[in-house]
Amino acid sequence: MLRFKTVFLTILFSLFVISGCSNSDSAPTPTAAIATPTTVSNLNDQSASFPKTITDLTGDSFVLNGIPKNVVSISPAATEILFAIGAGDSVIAVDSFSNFPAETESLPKLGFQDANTEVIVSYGADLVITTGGHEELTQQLKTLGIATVLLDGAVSIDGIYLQISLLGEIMGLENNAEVIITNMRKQIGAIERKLEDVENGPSVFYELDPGLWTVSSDSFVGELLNILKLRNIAADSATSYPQMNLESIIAENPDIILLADFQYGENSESVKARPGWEVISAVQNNQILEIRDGDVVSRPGPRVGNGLELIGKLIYPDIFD
Amino acid sequence: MRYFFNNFIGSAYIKIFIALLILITISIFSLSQGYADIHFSTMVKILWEMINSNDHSQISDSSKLIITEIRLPRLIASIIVGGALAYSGATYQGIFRNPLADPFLLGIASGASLGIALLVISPWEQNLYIGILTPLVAFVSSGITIVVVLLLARKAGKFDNYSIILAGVALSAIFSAFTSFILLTGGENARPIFGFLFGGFNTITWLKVFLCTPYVLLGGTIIFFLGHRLNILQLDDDQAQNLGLDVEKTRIILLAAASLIAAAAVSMAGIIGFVGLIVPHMIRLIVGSDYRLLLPLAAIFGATFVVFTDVIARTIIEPQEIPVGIVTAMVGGPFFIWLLSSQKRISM
Repeated sequence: MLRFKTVFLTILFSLFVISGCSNSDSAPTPTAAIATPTTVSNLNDQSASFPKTITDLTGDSFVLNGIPKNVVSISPAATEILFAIGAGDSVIAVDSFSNFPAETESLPKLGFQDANTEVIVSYGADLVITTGGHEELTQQLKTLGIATVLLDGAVSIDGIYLQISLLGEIMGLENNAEVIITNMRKQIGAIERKLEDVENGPSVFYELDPGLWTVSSDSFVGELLNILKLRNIAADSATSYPQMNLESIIAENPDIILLADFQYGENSESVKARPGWEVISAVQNNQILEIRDGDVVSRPGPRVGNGLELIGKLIYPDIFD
Repeated sequence: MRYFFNNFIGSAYIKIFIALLILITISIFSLSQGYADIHFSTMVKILWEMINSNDHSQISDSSKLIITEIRLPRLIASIIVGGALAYSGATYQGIFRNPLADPFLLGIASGASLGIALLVISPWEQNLYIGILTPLVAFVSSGITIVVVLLLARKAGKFDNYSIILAGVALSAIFSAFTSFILLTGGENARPIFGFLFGGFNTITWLKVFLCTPYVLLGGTIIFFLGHRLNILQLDDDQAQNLGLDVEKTRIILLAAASLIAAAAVSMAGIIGFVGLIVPHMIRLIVGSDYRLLLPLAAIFGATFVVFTDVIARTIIEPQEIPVGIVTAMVGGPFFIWLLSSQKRISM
């Protein structure tokens, strides 16, 4: 019996001791080494700048040994950015909410909140993009020697530009990223010019879900409402995504109700049928507007201009046509 | 008397030996399971290379990384957390002579989580020092919880079984409400709490294992040496006192030790329910309630249960995974209900 105990303790002890040593040799293989001879010429002009140090938006930095070839994105917005800047071919797996562009359909889906570390590693990922809520996963992947960037959901349009630039820099596609940003600026600028003559837009309740969750001005959607000169009734809330109650909505009496939860089954009819809502002027004047593609509006990615236009058309049909 | 004693020791060792054998088998099975297709022999080779660092073969780096840096720390963490939860659960049950006592129903886990949630939203930068501080904060806040529960439940110098559980459940509800409040109002900083509330081992690293394990070992050692006194504590307090046991002191030391390991388990893997409750019960049904045997077997089976449920958690909906707390509750909940109803039948 004593012998067994000794053996067991030895095993346990060795598990602990050994693990301490193995941390050091877990550096990933440089991807450049895998490249076939035919692509070497392509890489040559850029290889001068590698290895290079990238500083992400949280101030963390990491060393990149080459342009990532196997990118895993666990952020729907980052997925859209990667495809927009032309890095879509390097994306090998995405989270289960990444549904745009259509090319993502054929990619393996890794879940979101519980993306499995082993799965990411076994795909041979040399770059992982995560988003807010994945702080621990990000730390863990870095410990495992995998370049990982946490791109927190941007709270402003400028934040989106920064993320696009960063991904452009990482993927060696700086020029494409600049083009995307310039186009976005143009698109948003055009919308702003259209609304120049609007003095004071209508007041609005932006419904994220039937539990009356909404957005404050301290959020990216809040900024969109601002650009559209809408007076968000929850603009001054203490948190970015506050929960309102019916009483305060009735008191604020919004001119317009925007339904961002249309995809989840809410529509103008269901809102009209809610008891107590008949006193709100948006309901009386039939100004319950359905946002039919919620992703365009709620995702801080390269399609934000489209989202702006989508809401703009709903609210100012005369100006936008 | 001597014959009886030797006989008990002999059969106890055999039972512990069998339990360890099951744990080791399930652990090896667990190491071989996962999304990455790593053959069993490759896995054994990788483990062998860990011990003989000179012996390098042609195994891919990613397979090595998956076994040594993902599956192995995860296995060790689930062994330690499962063992800790069941060990502390069994101890609480012995201290309070209450079969319902467990780190969750007593409010200890909720107390620990509230402490950790406060640490997460604290203005300090989240770094290694916070990592070191986490199990300590969890211990202090769970310690405060248990003291409040005891003050509430103490009637005329004695602990009433129902009052303890009621106080624990009430405190647990209050603490959970505060944690949810922090979660809702804390904005971005509070988001790591989400993953924590679900409970699980997906983001476990060796560092986290090393930071939390010492407390489990410390508390575990204390219970290991004092656990047999729980047998005497099953008598009523006067009788126990007459047998020469300092009842009050024993209770307090064992309580502190059990809370230390429960808090360390919560800091490592978040909220994982039902292990501390059902595993000791299961063992009691199989081997009776001699704490000399019940305690070690509860620890070993607790570890086995969590290792097994974690395999389910990370393989059942590949390539995604589900928090292990969901699996332990799904498997443990029905068992607990069955246990309650079968006990009712017995008593009637």
